[in-house]
Amino acid sequence: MSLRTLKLVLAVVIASFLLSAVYISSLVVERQNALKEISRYNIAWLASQAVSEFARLEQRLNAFSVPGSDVDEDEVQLRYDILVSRSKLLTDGQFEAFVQLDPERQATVKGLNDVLAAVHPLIEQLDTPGNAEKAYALLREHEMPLAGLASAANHYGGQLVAADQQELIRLHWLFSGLAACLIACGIGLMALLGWHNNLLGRAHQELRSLTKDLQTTSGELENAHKALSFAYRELQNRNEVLQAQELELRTQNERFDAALNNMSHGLCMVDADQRVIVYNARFAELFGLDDTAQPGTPLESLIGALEHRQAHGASALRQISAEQEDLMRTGRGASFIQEDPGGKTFSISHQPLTEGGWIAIYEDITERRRAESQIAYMAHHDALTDLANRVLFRERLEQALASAKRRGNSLAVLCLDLDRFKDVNDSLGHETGDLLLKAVSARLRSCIRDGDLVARLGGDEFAVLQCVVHEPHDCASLASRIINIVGMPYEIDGQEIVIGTSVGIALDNEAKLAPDQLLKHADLALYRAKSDRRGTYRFFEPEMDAQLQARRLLEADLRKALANDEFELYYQPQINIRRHEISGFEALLRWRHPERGMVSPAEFIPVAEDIGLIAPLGDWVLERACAEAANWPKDIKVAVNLSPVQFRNRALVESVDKALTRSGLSPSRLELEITESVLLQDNETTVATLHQLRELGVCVAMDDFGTGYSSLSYLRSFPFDKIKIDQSFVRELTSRADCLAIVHSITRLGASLGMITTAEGVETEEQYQQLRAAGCTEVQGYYFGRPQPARDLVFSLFVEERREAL
Amino acid sequence: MLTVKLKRNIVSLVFLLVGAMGATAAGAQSLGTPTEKPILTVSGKISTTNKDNTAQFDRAMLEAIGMETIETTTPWYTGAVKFEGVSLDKLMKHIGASGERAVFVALNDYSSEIPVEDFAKHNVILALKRNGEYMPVRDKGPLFVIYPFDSKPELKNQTFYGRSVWQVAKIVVK
Repeated sequence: MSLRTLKLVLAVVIASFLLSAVYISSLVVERQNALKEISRYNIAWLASQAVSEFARLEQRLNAFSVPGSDVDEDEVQLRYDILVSRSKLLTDGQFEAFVQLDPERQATVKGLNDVLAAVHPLIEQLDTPGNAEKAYALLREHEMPLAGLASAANHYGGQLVAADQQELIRLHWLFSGLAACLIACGIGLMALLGWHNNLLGRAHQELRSLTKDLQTTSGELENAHKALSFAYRELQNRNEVLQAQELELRTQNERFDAALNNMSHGLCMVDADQRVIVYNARFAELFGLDDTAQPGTPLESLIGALEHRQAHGASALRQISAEQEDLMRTGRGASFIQEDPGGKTFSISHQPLTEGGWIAIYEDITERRRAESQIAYMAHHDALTDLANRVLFRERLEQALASAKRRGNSLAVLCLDLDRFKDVNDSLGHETGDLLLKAVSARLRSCIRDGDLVARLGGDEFAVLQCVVHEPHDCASLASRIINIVGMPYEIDGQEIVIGTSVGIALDNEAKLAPDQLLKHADLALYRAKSDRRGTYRFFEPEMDAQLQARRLLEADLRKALANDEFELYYQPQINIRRHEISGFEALLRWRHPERGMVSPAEFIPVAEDIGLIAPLGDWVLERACAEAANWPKDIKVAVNLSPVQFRNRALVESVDKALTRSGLSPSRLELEITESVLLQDNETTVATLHQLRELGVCVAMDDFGTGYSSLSYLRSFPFDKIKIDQSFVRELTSRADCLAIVHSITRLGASLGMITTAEGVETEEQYQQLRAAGCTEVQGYYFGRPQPARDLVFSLFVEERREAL
Repeated sequence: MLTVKLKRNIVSLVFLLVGAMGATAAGAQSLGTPTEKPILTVSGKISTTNKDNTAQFDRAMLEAIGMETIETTTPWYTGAVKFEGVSLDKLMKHIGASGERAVFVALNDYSSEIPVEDFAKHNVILALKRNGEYMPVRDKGPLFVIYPFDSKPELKNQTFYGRSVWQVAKIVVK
């Protein structure tokens, strides 16, 4: 049964309830009414009361008749009235209905009323004797019928009660039935309600499961939604990434396109089927491709089309393609140069691709090649004279040496330079110098054979490679020829110029010589030729090399000497003649070579000057001399020699100052000795430096005076403190009068200029006496003391003399 | 609402005072003596008497207590009937009745017991007149207990019909 039907049934049951209730209500009312009927009036009671009251009236009447009774007239009257009142009730209402049922009853009631009316006058006049008896007699006749009426009434009442009871029983049954019905209905209703509840429960259950399902579904939907939104986001992200990638790719593509088409090189990419898949603008330009060539065209048909059009790059591309096909057979990448018959040159870099096909880069190197050859020429030739330069000369010499070795013949290298070319340059200018060099070059070129080579090595240095030499004489004659031809006068810009040359010759008779060695030999020979006599030639001799080697060794040792602390200072006393005591010491540099022992300053100082070691060495001497002198008695000076090379160094003054500061030596105790060659160089700067030194407070002495130029103007250019007379004059003082005269003049000159004069190299008492006589201020020499290391110095002449004596 | 309630309260208070004064006045004076033949004798638990521990009233004495009117239908008459009589409540107070029950005895010695509380609760009267006429013994006189049946449905009941004693001659307060 469906819920709807159930509801219908429920409605019907409820309606039944309602109807039953209404019906019960009406029944109750009916019953109420019935009960009312029963209890409203009791006919039997009425009748019995009537009998009783009738009897009481009779009794009162009788009592009234009896004299002495307490019943008075009023009492009788009252009982009469009461009976009248009752009689009225008997003719009224329900009782009347009872009376009407039977004529006998009607007669009885009528009789009563009649007798009451009949006795009324009698009762009014009870005082009248006999009235009471008469009244009693009248009444007595009705006693029986009245009692009968009472009986009948009682009987009728019983009937009415029975009927009412019947009615009540009926109602009871009806009630019971209805109640049963209601109970049944109630049970039915309960059952229905139960069922309804059950149905509702089931429906609820279903609803719940449905809700649950819905919830589950909702959850699933939510999950699905989440998954979907996640997927959507993911998709969006991917999409963004893809878009970004696409953009990037596009940008990249554009860049690649731009890069490809702006490449200075042509580029072409061919797939495994020999179809052109990529090429750039430069490629098209290089080989004359027009716009009709689309990517995907087979390379062969592309070249075919070019040839058909007689495009300028057709033949080149054909040749390159053929080369590439060869390369593809070997499957390797390579770079090659292809020269086109049309005069163009291409550089191709070919690279096979892993999936077949290849990529190649093409460069038009025509111009570059031209430039390269130009550069190569320039790299090997002297721009001024167009002769070979040192590089080319060296290369050719190498080649020549190799071929000479193969063939077993000799070759020679001749080195030459122009004598006093510097003077020409200085006096006539560089332009004239250059023109002279060109003219010399032309003459040199004219005097060599084919296959020989003339090169300008630099400046006014030239070299000749004589490739085939049968005997040294060949070289000598070439050298003579050169000397002659170069030495002939030149006419340049209307001026006649004469310039000589010297030649050094090196032969490769010992075939294992390297080109550089050969060149060096020639150079050494040239050096010798120049030092011997200008305008001549010299062959290289091995001893030249030995000297060279010795000097190299010396240089190398010298470089290490300072670091190895191999230098020492020796001090030679200088004696003040007048005071006859030591006024100072001259510091003299000594090199204690670990193998060779003591090396003379004359040997290593020039080398040190040449290799730039003089500055640090000079600084060391200054430092050491000042430091050691600082320990001496306060009146003893120290003299240090300065090289002209040191004067070129601008830091000289600073070095002196530093040495003084560090040692704490008073500047007045330091004497710097310079030779006149110092003043030969850049005069103003040198003099300025001397003045700066003087400002420091140190003394400056002119060393070796009397040799060299000995220009008196030098003495004027700077106010020296001291003049040192060269020992060559002292040595021959006693034997040569001119020396004595010179010494005399110098001492007088010194005295008149206010300068101290010191004579060097005093070895004998005689020399000393003469110098004293000549007026020399100071003397220095073995006679007074040999140079000694600082630790052995004595500062008193007395001790010195005594030691001498010992 | 408050005003109405207050007003009602005041009214009841006034009535109470008036009643009390009446009672005091009644209690203070003696019942007096019937000048005519007494029609009602009240005995039992009463404080005010005038003869042999009973209170006897003639018609005038009863009327002096105060007449009240009830118009109602009854089982004994067709249609509505106007009864006039003395309030039993007042009567009881008049004689200082202290019982809970009152037995009404009719001339024919029929008796019925009525709870005293009925009198005030239902305004029961002891009717002297019906439709303006004194009721004679011949027509349920001289005194008839009348409930205002029409005023309250619950009064239309055999109990109250039974309590409506006619031809009342005596009342015994218990």
